[in-house]
Amino acid sequence: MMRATTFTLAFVFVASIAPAQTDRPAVGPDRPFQLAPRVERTLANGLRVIVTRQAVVPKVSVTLTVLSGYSSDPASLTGLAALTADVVQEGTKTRTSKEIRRQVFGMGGSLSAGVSQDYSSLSVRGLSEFAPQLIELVADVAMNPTLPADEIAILKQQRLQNVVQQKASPQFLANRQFRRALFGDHPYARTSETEATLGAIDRAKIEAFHRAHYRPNNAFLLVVGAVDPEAIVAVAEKTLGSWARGDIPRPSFPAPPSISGRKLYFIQRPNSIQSSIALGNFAIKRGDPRWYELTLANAIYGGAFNSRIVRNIREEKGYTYSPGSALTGFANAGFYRFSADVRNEVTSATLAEVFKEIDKMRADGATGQELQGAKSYLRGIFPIQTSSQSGLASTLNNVYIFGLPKDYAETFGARIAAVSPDQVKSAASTLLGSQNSVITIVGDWTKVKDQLAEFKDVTFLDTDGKTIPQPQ
Amino acid sequence: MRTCALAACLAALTTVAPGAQTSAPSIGSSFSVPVVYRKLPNGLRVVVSENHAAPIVVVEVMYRIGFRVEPQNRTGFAHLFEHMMFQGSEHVSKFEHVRIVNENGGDLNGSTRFDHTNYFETMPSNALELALWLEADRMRALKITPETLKNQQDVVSEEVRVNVLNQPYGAFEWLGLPQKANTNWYNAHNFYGDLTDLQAATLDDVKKFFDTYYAPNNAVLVVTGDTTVDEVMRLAEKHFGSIPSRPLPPRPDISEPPQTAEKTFTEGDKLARTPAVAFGYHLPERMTRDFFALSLLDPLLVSDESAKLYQALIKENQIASNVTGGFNYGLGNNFDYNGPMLYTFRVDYRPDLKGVDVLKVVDKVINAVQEHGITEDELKQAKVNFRSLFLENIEGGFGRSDLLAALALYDDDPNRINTILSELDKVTTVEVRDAARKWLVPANRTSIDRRPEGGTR
Repeated sequence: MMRATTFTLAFVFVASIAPAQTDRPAVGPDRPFQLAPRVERTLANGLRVIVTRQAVVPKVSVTLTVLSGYSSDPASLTGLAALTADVVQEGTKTRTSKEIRRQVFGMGGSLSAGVSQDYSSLSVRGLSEFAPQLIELVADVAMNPTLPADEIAILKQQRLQNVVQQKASPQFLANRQFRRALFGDHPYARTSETEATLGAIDRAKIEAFHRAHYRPNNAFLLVVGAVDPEAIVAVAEKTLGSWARGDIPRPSFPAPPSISGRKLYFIQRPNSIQSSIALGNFAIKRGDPRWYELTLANAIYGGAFNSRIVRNIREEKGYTYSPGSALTGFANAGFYRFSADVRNEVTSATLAEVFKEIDKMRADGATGQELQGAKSYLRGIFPIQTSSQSGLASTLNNVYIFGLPKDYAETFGARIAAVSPDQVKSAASTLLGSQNSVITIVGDWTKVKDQLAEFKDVTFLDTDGKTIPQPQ
Repeated sequence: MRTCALAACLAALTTVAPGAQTSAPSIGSSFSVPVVYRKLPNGLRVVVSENHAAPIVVVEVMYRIGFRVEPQNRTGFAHLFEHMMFQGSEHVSKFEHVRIVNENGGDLNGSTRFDHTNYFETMPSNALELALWLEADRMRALKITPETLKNQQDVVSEEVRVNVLNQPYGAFEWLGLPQKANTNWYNAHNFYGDLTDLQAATLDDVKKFFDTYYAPNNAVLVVTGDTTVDEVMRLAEKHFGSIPSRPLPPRPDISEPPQTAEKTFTEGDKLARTPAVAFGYHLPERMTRDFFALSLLDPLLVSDESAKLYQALIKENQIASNVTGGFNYGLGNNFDYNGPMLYTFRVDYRPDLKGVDVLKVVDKVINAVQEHGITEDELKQAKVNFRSLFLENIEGGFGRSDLLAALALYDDDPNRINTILSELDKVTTVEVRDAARKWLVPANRTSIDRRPEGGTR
């Protein structure tokens, strides 16, 4: 199957005999990159307010983040935090749902919620001249929602249909089962609602979640854009200063279960013409100081286009279009995950190559040139990612959610540069699981079973997530 | 977002809604983009837009050849060819382009669209010349082998499988609908490619396509970011100046005869578990008055939860869970194409209903606009909203460079980036009503009702 990349038959389509520069141009000296200074205040009620000016275009990004998300849901009510973040947008003491939508639209924005394991964010981007009104509106939604029963019914119905619809997506199924298998009973296993958990959520539970978690001492406001930071702090004081503190219930985080052996979960999806693979193991939480060295190891292994996995199973073997690995860091745990969609015939060949590359990283680390290249890559794309208002907002949001060093954005490049080859090797060998891994495959077992005979203890599931006998 | 994203760049690109000002106090209108536009003697267009906010540059080369005009027995070839542009050029071996860009702190991609194919690098600005050299090298001479061609035929086949054949709904709203709505082959073929056609491509096909279309006089080079006009022009001349221009073939007739009766289709879906309906209206020609009028009606119809269709379908009638839509849906925005185009919508609806039930509600919403028009207040809000999204898109990075490239290639006027909003400002409520009356009618519409058919359970 393996094709050598020889160039014996190469020929050049030369359009002309005009001279070309044969030598690759050198790269000039690093040009310094400085983010504007940030203003950070804590209001008397505990709300942190962070404002930074970035003014290429006259726009503003406003994000109010509550530090409670899916992991604060009771297990039987998975989706409560997510539904709450939607429902608060459906009416306040002074605005109807329609008025909220129409007002935000007319200021050039769109209000939306983003809910993850550790947080719920309400965010809007609009024209910066409306910054005070946008902040006032977000504050109103967070502080004074009326949680109308009829709107709750509509949103539940909408989410219910999404729950059914998602079960047709192989990438969704692979990821959901991967997380469930990895985290077991840990709160981080709660990633998406089901028909049952949605059914159990009612207005009283949403009201209770809002009352308990939407509190200034559990939140921060982040504003990035063409604004005067001191004026924004004053607006925040005026609009959010009266928000009452509360005692915040915290989920208890047991130690995540440990994974031993290579455990295969196969989700039977008839008619699949590809195997959708997700595999990996626990790594580190987002705030772990080893984040930088593991990020480098991951970039070399599979986290960049120019990575070993992409070269191998895409550019040499042509197994797949979009292979890659990613680190996910939560507040209390984290994991790395490789994922790819490959045609049925190369399912086991892909697994073999992926583990071969992991084992190589674990045993040998990276070459000098690879490490140098990965450092340049990560240091280079950081200013690219933070050069837009939305990119900077996203980076800073993580700083305050995960309690990263306050100078995270300012020192990221230097921290990456300081990582040693030994640290990368050690990160890879201790953190990238190989013999102990969760493997999930969504596909058609009848088409790939002969390739997977080495797995003796396979758990079979249907697309609803229920255990089933081995498909025939 | 790996190289060559028909679909990879997709989802994020809903309508690049420009906003616009009302006549008197122009909201957010003080902003303008610096643009310098020149042409090299070989015909290569060069656009420079300085932006010193961060030490980064975007280098983009856009060729005026897309999937619309690919060879007729080679569906998907324009996109396959795009992949080959990463497989080696005269001084850069296979995949080295990617390694060189990443190892010097940059990211890159390419994408194939209706009327163009683009290639871009986002780099630290100290690597500007490196990016220009890489682009010039592959414009001058591509170097491929039977092995690299076979490799990318396999990769692209997997791309089609992951984005179309193994997905519920099979991209029916952006890949399937144009094939049903249009009648001219150029607009109506499977542009992601039939797997048999993709595997049938030869080295000779690649060479011929390159020789025919990848000429400097069929392209634009855009550089935005932390550089100067003088530096870009000097380096463009140095690296691209000696690439000779070539005669270009005449453009084929891509026009689409007017549709006179509604077309409706039903498809079974072996993978999906809930139904969805997609429908599209042929759009008026780009940059005409009707085009601008519909560009402003669009965010009122189908932007977020505020929009008329969301309110009608999800809130009032409660028959759907999601509605999306836009010009050049799934592939771009209002400005980055140059030929017949659809205004496409997709509605995910309740399993106990049929697509026609959705269309009835849609028609009610549209009929109200046709009958009563929109209010002055709505028009003003639409202009603000369009302006806001437009500004966000051209803040920097690829959004700015890609719009400048399209305006240079299709309008020979990248400065139009600074006048589009004022053209939108002139739109009146009467124009919106009249454009809706003319274009958003069933006779101009094609729909596909996509229904689950056994399968994935």
